[in-house]
Amino acid sequence: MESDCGREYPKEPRHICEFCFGKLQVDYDYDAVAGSLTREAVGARPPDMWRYRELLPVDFQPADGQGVGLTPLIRAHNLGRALGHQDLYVKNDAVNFPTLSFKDRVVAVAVAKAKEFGFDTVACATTGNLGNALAAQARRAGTKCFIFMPADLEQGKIVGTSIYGVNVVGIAGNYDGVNRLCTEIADRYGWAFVNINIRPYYAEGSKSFGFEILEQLGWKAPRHIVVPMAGGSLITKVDKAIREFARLGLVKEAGTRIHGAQATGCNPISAAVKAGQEIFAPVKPKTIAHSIAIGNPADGYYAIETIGRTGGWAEDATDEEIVAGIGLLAETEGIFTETAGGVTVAVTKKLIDQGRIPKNESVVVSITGNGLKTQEAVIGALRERFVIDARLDEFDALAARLGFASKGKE
Amino acid sequence: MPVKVRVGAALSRLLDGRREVEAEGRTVGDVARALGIDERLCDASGTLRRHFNVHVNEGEDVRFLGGLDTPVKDGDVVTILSAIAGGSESTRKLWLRYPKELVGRPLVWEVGNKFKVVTNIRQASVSQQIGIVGLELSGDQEEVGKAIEFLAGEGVSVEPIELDIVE
Repeated sequence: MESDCGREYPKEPRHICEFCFGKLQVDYDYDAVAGSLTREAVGARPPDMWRYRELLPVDFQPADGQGVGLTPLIRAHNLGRALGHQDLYVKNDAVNFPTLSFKDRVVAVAVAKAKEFGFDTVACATTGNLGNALAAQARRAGTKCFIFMPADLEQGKIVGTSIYGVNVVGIAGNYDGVNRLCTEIADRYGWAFVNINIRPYYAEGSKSFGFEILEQLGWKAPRHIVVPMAGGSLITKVDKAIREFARLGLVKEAGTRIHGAQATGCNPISAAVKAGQEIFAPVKPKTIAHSIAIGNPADGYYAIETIGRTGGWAEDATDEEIVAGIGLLAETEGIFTETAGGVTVAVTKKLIDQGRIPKNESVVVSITGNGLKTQEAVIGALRERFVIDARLDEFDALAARLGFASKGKE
Repeated sequence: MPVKVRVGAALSRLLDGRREVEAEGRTVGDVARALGIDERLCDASGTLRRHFNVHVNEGEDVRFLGGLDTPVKDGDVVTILSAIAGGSESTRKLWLRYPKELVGRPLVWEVGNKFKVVTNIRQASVSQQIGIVGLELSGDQEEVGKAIEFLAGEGVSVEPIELDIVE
């Protein structure tokens, strides 16, 4: 692994440089990878994220995490028409396996790596998707598991983790305190905390989201991609995925512009990009998009750098725009996404309207989670439901009101 | 016969988890360089960092002898200890973020004076608008806790080096 300041570290459960406090990045022997990771080889492998295993930080083909990834990339004609765009795609991790979010990818790598390092307990601090993914995959992999959550989380969020029968700990107190406590626990108990000491490996799992897009586009890079930003890691890894495939000659460099999406109620990264600043000011989140409400994003600096370097932009969406975005994607493409997906759709609309994504340049919209997990966000915005008595004349009246004519048969 | 180097339990990370190794050299500095730990022990100016104490054959702190130029000979034992002895020692890596009003105040110095902690700045970026400092705080767990409370009470945002980890 390598630090920002250039120092090298052996492969070990470590996530920051002891010297500069910068984050560590996994590096690869690309010459060796080029020999075995070819389009033909990838195409012949099983349909999950491990088909790119040479570019994932595992030493062996993992025994766990089978079936994770390789979610659909669809050509979204209807959504494109609604947004006035001619070449729009949706990458749909709302149907990822096993827990319906892109976190299944990062957790698959984190659990595999934790086992390689010899850990018997995995842990994380979460507000939802990450906990779902880790609890499920820890069970499959047979490791012990602790999930930490803010104590005041909604019931619905807890169910999707607690159902797996792992240790779920609610922590009372303010958000900063929860953060500090979890880092102390990570230190003291020596567990594989997927987003602390295993973080460099965990984060690499996100690259598979990018690799799949490139393969599914027919080994081509899109001109634009819109990515939601929470901690800011995914957007940097999508960029890394494109650069790695280009370096290996698997796709042609297409100057892909990488755009970031945040909620207006938690927009430290997009605010910095729009103000032309390299550092961001942390915020106290206030948005319905809880899954991406990270006020002091660990990879914020790197996300800003990625957006700037690739010629992308960042925008944010209000709660109303988020709900409208969820509805639009559902009504046009039949995909029910969570609030983070509503953010991405709403921001894509803005970027098209602003002309930053020209109407004829290919764009991929990144959908990272499933709407069934955040139903409370859209309940107030659902279409009217009709209730009638069990009589045909009642239905006839309704049908007539809606403009449907009966065929006049008995 | 080379020089033996021993480290305290808290510092075994310096030697990849080992507590004792051997190395060649004619001064303490030579030995540190031979082990590749010289940058860990010293700051950029070559001065021994405050939070380490180094002794030769259990003698006086080398700071009072020749510092890194203190001579060693074959068979000597160099001991490296954490400067904060005993207690439940704790090291916390933190990002401090100073709001505009506090940018001019020497808070790290104040912390070092008020509490029995060692402050080690690893990165800093200070402008008129905001100050961001990567700080390692070590000392007795209770003192470290008090130091963090003091900083937070003064209006500094004190976050673990991982920033927000609840995701």
